[in-house]
Amino acid sequence: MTTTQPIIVYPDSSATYYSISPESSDLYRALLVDHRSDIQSHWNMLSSVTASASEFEPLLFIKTRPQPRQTAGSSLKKGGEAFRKKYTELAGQLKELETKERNDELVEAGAVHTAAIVIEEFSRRDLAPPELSWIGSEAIIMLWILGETKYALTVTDGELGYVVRAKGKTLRTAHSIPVSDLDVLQIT
Amino acid sequence: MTVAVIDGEDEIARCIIFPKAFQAAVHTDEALFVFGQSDASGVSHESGVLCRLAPQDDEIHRIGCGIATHQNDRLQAEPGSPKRRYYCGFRKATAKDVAISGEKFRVDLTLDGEGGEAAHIDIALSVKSDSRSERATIKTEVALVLAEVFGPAVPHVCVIDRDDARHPLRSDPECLVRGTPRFSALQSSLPFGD
Repeated sequence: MTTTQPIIVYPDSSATYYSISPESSDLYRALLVDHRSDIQSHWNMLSSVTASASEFEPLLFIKTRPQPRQTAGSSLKKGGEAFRKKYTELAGQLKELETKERNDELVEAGAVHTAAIVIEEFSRRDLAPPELSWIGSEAIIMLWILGETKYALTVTDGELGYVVRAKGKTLRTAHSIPVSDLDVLQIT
Repeated sequence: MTVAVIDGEDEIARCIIFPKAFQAAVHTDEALFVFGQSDASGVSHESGVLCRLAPQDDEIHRIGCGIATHQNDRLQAEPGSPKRRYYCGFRKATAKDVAISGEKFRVDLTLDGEGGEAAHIDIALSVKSDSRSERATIKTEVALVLAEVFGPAVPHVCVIDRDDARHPLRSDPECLVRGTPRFSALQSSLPFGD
């Protein structure tokens, strides 16, 4: 068995197995790197049933398609419940704003309505929920702080504007973006 | 920059009043200035204190307590009322860092003595734009910029509030320093590209 060359099998194709030379193949070395822990596991399993496991070499590799790199969005699904809870709170805050005065001024219904649309869309896309603030009666501010960078989305009736600041400088700003063009913000 | 009798090197103080300068129960940089409804000439006004005329912290606190009292009188908000305003302290900056201007905006500082307080400053933001979205976005940007130049809060509880359990500093002594919750997730979880 120690002289048998390993075979690679690609499960998603019918003509994709072939032998490789353990000593000369870069692919073999790459496999050893990528799958060393798997090989070690196999050796450990063999060691449990034979005293001479070191004589064995892998006979067969099964190489699956690479797993997609975990994206931030998917990693954040771990916090999905927290996000949902926060979005529920935000929706409640906006509902209150329709009827309640803050800082002596009633926030304009159009701004509240637009903010509700934005919040619902962000929630649907599983994006990080913002903190809410207000500018008098005409706008609602959505704020995210990531490290040293502040992202402020200013929502007025039917339109969006944003400011990105870091280290005392404005990095990006834009305004008068129709709420229907949320993707202009480069939503991922 | 309009200096009037205010010198660029003067220190000015910004009083922190609950709930205006707060998000929920926490004071945040971003809520330090909330340039609200503009007047007929398109200018939004906020208040400050010229420290040269109120050099002791106690004097600034007295002015801050007076502002809250005035607002509570207007709102008929007795101690314990959910509508009550609370003075919580102040933060300082240098005048020239506050009196900023840009292509479409300008911040002017004017010593106006409002409310009989000689040290009272009007902090006026003028924005030139016909677009509501642009005006609001500029207000947001200016508020963020100004918050960056103000130092840490000097906390205070007014005498009239000392037995009021609703005072933010009574329920959370760290409420002036905690700040906006920092988001620890990755860039791509935000609705903005890199």
